[in-house]
Amino acid sequence: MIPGVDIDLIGTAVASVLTFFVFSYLLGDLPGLGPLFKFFYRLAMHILVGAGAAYALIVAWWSVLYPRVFVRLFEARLAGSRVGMTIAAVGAALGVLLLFKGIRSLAWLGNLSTAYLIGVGVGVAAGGAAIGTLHAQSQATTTFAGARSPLDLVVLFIVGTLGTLTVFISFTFTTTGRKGLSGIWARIVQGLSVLGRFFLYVALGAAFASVYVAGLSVLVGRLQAVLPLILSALSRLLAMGQ
Amino acid sequence: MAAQLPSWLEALKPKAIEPTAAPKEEEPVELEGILEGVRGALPVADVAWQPLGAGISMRPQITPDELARAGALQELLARGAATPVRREGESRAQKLWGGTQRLFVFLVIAVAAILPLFPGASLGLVGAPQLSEAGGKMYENIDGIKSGDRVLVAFDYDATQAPEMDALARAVVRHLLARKARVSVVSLYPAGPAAAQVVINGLVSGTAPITITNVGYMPGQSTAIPYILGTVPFSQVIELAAVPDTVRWWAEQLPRSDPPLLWAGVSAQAEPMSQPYLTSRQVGGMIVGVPDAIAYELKLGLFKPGVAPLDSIAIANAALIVLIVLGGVIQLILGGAPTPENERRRK
Repeated sequence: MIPGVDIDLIGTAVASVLTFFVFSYLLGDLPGLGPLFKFFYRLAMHILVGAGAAYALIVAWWSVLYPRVFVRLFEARLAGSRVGMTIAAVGAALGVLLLFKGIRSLAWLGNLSTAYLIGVGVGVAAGGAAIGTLHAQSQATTTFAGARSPLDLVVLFIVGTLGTLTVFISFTFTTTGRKGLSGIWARIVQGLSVLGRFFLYVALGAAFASVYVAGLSVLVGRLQAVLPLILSALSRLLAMGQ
Repeated sequence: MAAQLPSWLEALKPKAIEPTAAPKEEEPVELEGILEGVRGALPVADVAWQPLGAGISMRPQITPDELARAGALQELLARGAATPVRREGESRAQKLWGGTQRLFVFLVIAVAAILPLFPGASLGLVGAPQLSEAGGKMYENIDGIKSGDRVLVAFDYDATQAPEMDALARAVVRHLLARKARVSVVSLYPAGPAAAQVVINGLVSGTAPITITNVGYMPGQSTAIPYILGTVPFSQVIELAAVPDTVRWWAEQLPRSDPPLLWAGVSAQAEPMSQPYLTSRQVGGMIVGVPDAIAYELKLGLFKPGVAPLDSIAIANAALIVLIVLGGVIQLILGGAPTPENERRRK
């Protein structure tokens, strides 16, 4: 803590400047000053990536390596617990072996750690997906969960089923110019494909709208943080001018 | 009827193999099919060790028709990769046109978002928001928490989503502190604990007893959840998620119960993919985005700065709709921007 220096104010000022650096990407195509704005944007991105990597490293040390490997190893040694020491040592050894993945000639040494990670990951994720998503969501679908009125039920059943099936069909490709039954079938599939694409457009539009609203909320949040600082600086400048 | 081989494959047919040793009399001669006239083709043991390509014509006869078809296939395969980006062919004027469009959109959205935030500019376009039904369930659930109950709050977002997610987190944690719950904070993201600490520092006053423990980052994504559930005591979990993946991980790993163990505060982006878990009652209640956060705080009687952010979001949304419609009309009338692709189509 430096006496007389408001760290929060400095932090807000730096954050404001970096926010404007990121927004300067939009001015990158302007003739003349465009490259300068692009430089500011890249500078902000490099600071973000660099700070993020450094922060992740510190978190990995203080939240994972130090408390879960070194402290546990030390505690197990103090307690004379062979099981505890073995568990901590095996974890540490697997972690060290993973580092060899960066050296091409010794990368095979990391296979054991990778196999362990993938095995545990797939085991947990597959079990969770089967019970927590596949079974639970299938059950919710068959019981029409969420339907509170007969109209809801009809909409869920007809629109839901039709949407799912026609979206699947929209990925079917048929050739034109067929005749007879084959031609009739091709036209039916093409018609259903159009309907499926319509459902896809609606879904993608909704996804875009959600992402836009989330982005807008972040923008408004940043503006709320930055605006008071700008207004304060402007008022001070005006006061100095008078 | 035997199938006809294409000429190019016919050309690859093994010609009379020059044996390195005299053919053995007992080896049969093939009398029909593509190996007709070849002796000792079966068993292959005698010829398997021969140098690759021995006895096979390496100059197949390819007709002009086949070459044309191969060319068409090559063109089709190459077309997909070539179409999306055509920046190289753009002239200076076309680049400037694209940049001007982006700048125009940015300025419209920026002005629309900034105006309601100026002090004194209380437009009051959006009234006090009401909590959704799922949000109401979440409120009632937290309101029913007894003093000393242990609640696990997962801050599964980082600084890039903080402006939206902090609003949700503040509302929920404020309510938990008001109910005197014992809160444990974890995160599946490395930067999550820092985001959590910012929210906690803003809420916990110097005099109030601190009942929040920031357990920190738990590595392993979905595999970390069983470990967390086994080591951190809890009676329910509140998941604060910026993306739907983390909601899914928690919903998949937590046992189903009635009332549900999992409650969520999600960003607008995460809502569509999180909704099925709410419908299936794996998530008991959910608040979504800044509007629900403000509605929640209004219900708590804690929200002070007014609803300027909602005005801002509403005007920016309206501006975007106008831009989309305007862009569509211009596209319809003029037939698109003067990009090289459009110029080529016009010609």
